[in-house]
Amino acid sequence: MVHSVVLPEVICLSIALGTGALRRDDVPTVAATERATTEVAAHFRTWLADPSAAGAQAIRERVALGAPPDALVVLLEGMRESPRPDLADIAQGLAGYRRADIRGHAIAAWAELGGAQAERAIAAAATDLDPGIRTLAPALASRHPSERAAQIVVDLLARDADLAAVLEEDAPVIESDAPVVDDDAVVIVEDAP
Amino acid sequence: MRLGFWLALVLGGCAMRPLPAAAPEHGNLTAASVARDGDASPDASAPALVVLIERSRVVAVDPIGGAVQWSLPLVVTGHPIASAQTVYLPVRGQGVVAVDRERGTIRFTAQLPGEALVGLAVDEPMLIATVLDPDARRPAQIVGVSTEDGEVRWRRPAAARLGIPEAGGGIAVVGIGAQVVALGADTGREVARLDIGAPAEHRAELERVVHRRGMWFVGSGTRWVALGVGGQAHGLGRSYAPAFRTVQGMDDGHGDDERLGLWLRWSSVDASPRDAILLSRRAVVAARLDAEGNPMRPRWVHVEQGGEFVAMEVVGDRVILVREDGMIVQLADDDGRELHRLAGHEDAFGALVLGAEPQVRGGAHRHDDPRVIGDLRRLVALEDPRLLPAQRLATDLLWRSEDPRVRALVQGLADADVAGGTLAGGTERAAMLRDHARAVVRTPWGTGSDAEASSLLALLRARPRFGEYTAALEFSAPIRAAVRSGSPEVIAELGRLLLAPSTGAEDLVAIVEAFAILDDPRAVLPVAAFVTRYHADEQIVAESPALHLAARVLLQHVENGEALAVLRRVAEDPLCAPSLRTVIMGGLGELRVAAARRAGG
Repeated sequence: MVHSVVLPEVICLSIALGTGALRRDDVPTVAATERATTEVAAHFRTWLADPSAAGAQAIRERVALGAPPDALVVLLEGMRESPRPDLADIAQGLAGYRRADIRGHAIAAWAELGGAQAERAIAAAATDLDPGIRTLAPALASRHPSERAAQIVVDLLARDADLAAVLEEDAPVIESDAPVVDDDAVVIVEDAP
Repeated sequence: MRLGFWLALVLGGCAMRPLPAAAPEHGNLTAASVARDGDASPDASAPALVVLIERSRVVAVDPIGGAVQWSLPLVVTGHPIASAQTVYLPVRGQGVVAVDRERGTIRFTAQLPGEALVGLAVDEPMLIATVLDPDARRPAQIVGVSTEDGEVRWRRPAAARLGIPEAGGGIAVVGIGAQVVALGADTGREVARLDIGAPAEHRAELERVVHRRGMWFVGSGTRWVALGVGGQAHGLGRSYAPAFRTVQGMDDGHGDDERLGLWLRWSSVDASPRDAILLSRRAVVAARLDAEGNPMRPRWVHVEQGGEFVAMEVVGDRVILVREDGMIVQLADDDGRELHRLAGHEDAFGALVLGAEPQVRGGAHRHDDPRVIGDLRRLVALEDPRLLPAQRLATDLLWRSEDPRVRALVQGLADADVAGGTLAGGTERAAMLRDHARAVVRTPWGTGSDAEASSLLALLRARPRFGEYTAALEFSAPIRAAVRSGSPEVIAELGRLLLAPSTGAEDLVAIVEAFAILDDPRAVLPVAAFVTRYHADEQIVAESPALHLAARVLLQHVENGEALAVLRRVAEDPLCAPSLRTVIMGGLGELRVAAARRAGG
């Protein structure tokens, strides 16, 4: 039995590398748009800090009006760091965004709600056409372990040989027989063939 | 005559036994008729003849040569029928005058019992009549009259109202209650009885029996049952006009209601699609109906300028129409072109058109009139409330076109501001046609069947999911198919596909182009959601022309408040991708200029 420890930072890296979110230079920018994006992102932070229904409603309305992807990333990162069950619909909705990087962030934020929501997020990641998003499934299953989540990952790895190989060879793992003490760390239990 | 009647009853040994209104099924109607039936149509070899029913005379005209064959001073009170040699004309006093079809000589006048005629049928040597006898203990009778001498050979009183009979193959068939009874035409003896296999609520309506190409049907209005083939009830999906003429208890002769009727091409197989020709006063519309009896494809249109038609019949490969002024107009059954026109001399209330049986199917080289779409458009635009049934059919046929530009006319009718005069005058007719168009645009478009529409929906609902549909799903074909033929659900499904993250960029473009062509206001919601969601995402805007095209779709529907609101909101958002804003602002500007030009005259 091998214990693979995947840190939260790895999840973010996975999202970023797998979905091309780091290729900022590909996107033409306009100064006014940048300013507006920063403003929207700041609004998202403010509204997220407001636990009231009014804050949630403001977020919902802004997302419905259409927000720039960078601001959406800020929102979703905030939701991942401080899970908001009342904003589950936002995470779910953005998990259907055209761009894979937004979907990745949305699925990660969605999974942080735990329980059945996490299982649904993991299932969504496991069936996504983007290989980067599928990479999230085992990582999220490690963070939110359950019988169903484990089965989703087993099924995924059975179908996705590339991902199975990547996880086997390239995943940054710390192999240890010692008990895991870091609360933020996640343990993946893999059955040896 | 009375003495002759009773003598005939006694000497002829005719049946007087009452006909029960309900009895156990027995016999085989089809076998009973085929056994004696050569199935030779009585009209197959006889030359065509139009018997015009005027106020106080009957005139027989050769519709080909135009010669008056004969004329008789008769006041006809019911619907005449004919055999190959004789025309039988109901006259006052329960009489039926038998006239030699070729020479016009009166062969005899038969006297029917009862107070009023319900219907006549002939299968020589017997004339069959159903009559009302309201004061008698049994309120109806069916009577067999010899066509040799006009004497009653048998009669059967009935405990329930009898429908309009039909005769052929040596039997007379008539509806009684929820059953159909076959009687031997020569004796009146019951040889078969069938329950009408129709839902209970329709049984009482099915009162006319017709015999076409070896098949027996019982029907009324727009519903019928093919007898002896399982009794499955059929109906026309849309009711424009009755296909089975019936009477209100008694036959009171030709009336205004006959200016509206639907002719159906019957076949020995209950085939579908089937040809139909709608007569709606001065308009005639030929079309194909689908299996559900809904209009599927137009064939041709004829609109008469000078007067209304009072009769229509298909004889061989011709459609013979009789105008209220006695004019006889002949059209080609294949493509509706006018073949012949004979001026009339006196007004006609109705006519009996005799001649060869209609073609079983259209000719192998038949072509629909290439101008039919234009003719339908012109028909719909005519400001004549009497044409409304034909205009409804025309609207339906335009909507079934696979060409979205043709269907756009129906959408235009549905969107029309009648009160504002978009439809000339804002008349009641225009309002009724608009309401009909509104109902029509909620139904499937194009020629596809319900099954094809379901199959199309299933194709559009599929979503590629890793591990389940690893091969890329092919959406371009179903998207193209949806433009030709589909249902309102297709619009919603295309909308969902537009918003699905797995939809490829090329398919996005195809969907938005399909929405642009379909020009359906139901597309506004998903397109607005698409534009709203991605207007601030430069990468998605740059990915394909889909967002620009989507904005143009919204501009197409700018009269829709939601579309305009979304366009304004998106264009005013500083986060909007500049290229998208340019498209929107440019489009709104062009619309403003166009509106200003219109306002300036």
